Amino acid sequence: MKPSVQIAKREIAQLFSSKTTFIFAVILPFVSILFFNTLLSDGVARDLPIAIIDLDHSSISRNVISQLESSPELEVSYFPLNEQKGEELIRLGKVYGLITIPQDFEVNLKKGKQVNIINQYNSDLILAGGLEYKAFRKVIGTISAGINIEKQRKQGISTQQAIINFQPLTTNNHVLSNPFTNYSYYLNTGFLAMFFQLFVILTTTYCFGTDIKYNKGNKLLSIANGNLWSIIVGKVLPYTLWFMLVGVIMLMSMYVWQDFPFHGSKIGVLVGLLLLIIANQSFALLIIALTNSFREALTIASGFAAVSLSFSGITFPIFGMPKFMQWLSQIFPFTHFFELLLDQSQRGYPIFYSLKSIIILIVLCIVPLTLGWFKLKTLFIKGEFKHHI
Amino acid sequence: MKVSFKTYYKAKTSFWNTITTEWSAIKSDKAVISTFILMTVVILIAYTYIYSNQIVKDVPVAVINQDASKMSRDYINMLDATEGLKTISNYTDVQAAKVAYYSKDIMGIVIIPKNFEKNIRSGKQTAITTFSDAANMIFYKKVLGDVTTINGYFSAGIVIKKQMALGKTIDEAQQNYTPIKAISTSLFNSSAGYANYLIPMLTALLVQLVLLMGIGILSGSRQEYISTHTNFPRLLHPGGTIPILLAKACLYTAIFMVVIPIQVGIVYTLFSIPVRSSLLTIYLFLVPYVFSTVFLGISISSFFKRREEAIVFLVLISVPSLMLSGLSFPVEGFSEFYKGLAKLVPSTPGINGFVRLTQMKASFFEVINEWNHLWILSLIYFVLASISLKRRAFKESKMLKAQH
Repeated sequence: MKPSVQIAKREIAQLFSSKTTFIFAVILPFVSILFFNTLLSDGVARDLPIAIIDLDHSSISRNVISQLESSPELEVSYFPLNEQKGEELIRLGKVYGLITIPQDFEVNLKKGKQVNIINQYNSDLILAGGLEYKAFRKVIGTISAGINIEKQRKQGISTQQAIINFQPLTTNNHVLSNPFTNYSYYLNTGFLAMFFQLFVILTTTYCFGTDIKYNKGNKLLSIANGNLWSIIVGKVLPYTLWFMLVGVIMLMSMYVWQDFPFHGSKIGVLVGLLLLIIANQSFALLIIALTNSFREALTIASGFAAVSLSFSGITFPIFGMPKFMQWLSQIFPFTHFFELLLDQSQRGYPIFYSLKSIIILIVLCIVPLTLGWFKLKTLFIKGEFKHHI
Repeated sequence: MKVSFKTYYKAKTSFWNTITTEWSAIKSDKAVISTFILMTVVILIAYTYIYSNQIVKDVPVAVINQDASKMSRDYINMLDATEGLKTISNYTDVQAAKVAYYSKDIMGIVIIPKNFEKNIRSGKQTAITTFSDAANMIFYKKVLGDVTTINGYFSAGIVIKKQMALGKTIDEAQQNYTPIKAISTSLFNSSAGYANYLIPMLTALLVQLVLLMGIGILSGSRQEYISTHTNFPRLLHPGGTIPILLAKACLYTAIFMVVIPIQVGIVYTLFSIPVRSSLLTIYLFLVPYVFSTVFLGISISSFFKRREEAIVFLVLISVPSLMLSGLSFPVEGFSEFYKGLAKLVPSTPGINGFVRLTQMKASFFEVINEWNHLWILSLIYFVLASISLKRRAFKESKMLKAQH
């Protein structure tokens, strides 16, 4: 164990002497934790600007406008004169939707004719457009139901019965896991964990890459008496421990210092975190072994970590992807960790159902290193990358 | 007169020299070339492929039918017919469904209560119970949205049938039921497809990412070999940075004028993502975007002592830049600090403008605010880039003089 301790000491000394490594391993992880936690701190999008064309100018149309205004998701910011001007506002990006109240709205309504309210919303912005659409439907649905119930009451039906007559079937919704449907709970969990593993894989690639770029492979091998295992343990273990600490702080930033729901097994999450770190370090070693230069290794490592966000299913569910992409998503440690984290925090599954994720993560710790082992050994004997730049 | 002509002549020479030097540096640097190709084409295709199914279909939900009547089966059929949901009704009780939920076989549970048909027929209100998992918002929205829609239709169907039984016509019954009809038209991306939504954003983001990376890598190696001032000798003269910076910006603009049509031509055609603006408008918009990004790249490149550092750093800022652009999460949800920060990043107006031009059919004059914004950023970063280049050139020449 002696040589690996020596290498570990050398590694820690290097961490404090190299500004770059220090920034990547120590400062930036905390910056990212701070950034994402503060960026989406509200978690819910409110007051999305919309435009209304009121062609009726009646008391009922004004009532509709004020009800739209009082919906928490919407804010009526513009009253364009005609449709052209309104659509221009959408194209200018000033509003997410344009609502038109037609002429004779009040007159027709009082006559008992069905009247229309038209909502054009920007569905190119999926989240904001979707929120606007939902809020609009809800407000108009409520107003419409109110009129229906009022009519029934005039015929002598009790309010309660009128409601039942209007809506014989209702829904009793139970929102699991994220009861406030807070986007921050959903997105932050993903972004924070994704950035965390990005730092792990980059730091590992960096600390091996700098040594090999400047032809220190032989030197390391001689300290370790030719034993590759002690080099890996000596260089990697300090970072494994350090990132475990960073990871725990990252989790605490969500589940302890903020009110993210946590209903599962803490030990399960910590085991997953440790495996995520080791699996990423294992992949970093494989990448070092397979590439021809430091720059190439870093590009591939950072690319690998960055695309893992999309493959994890947070932006688009895995089962909706083409089959080939579904298979590919399984080789990313982040996919399995993210699943485990959600299951054990918000969803509060029994730990048994997370065993699958844990087993796959263990496999992903072992396989990359095994695949790269001999190549890595040759690389260290050679002492440097094939290309310097 | 003579002096100004001389200055002009020198600036012109320096401009063309810079273009040649930079172009040959790009050409001979395998790293830069591979970053360009990898990022602009390979990453874009891979990402588009992930989202190529566009929408989430057939999310599996368990339906526990405690009523076993004809009406309840009709209800299940209606639910199953929606595009978003696929009903699985072979769970007999909630416990069985819960186990399936834990194993991720289903994403939600819908319970049809006992006496469903009987209650409805006798005019009592009945409630469908749903459990939907909001740990993943996409599934949550599908389950809840589709169940709510079907419930609305179902209720309306019952009421209208009852009214018709009382002798009203179907039109009358409908008018009675919904006095105000909400008609929603989705603009631009009518199916709310994910590829249509994300890929234009990504295309514009990649412009910034690739440029910053390329410039970072090149400038990193110039720092390693102390060759900034020998590559661009005019840097040491007063006003010498102007032609050099302009030349670089023009060169990269020219490169992207080739790259963008290739991206749009291959990826957008392959995955049928619409393009709703002319190439000329895109070019016109691209100029200040590339200019501001190039100058930003040069301003920050002094921080990179090695070429590798540029890669790492720039990958890190890509996701935050996308978030800050306000197109994925609405900007109304950000604090003033982040709104301000977002304005300093070229990708914010860059992505916004590009998406609005190509997807929302905006005319050039409708993105003029973004265009002006980019020119202002260009100006700011131009000044910063000049200072940064100048400082580096003087430092290098001093260092070399000290060595001799």
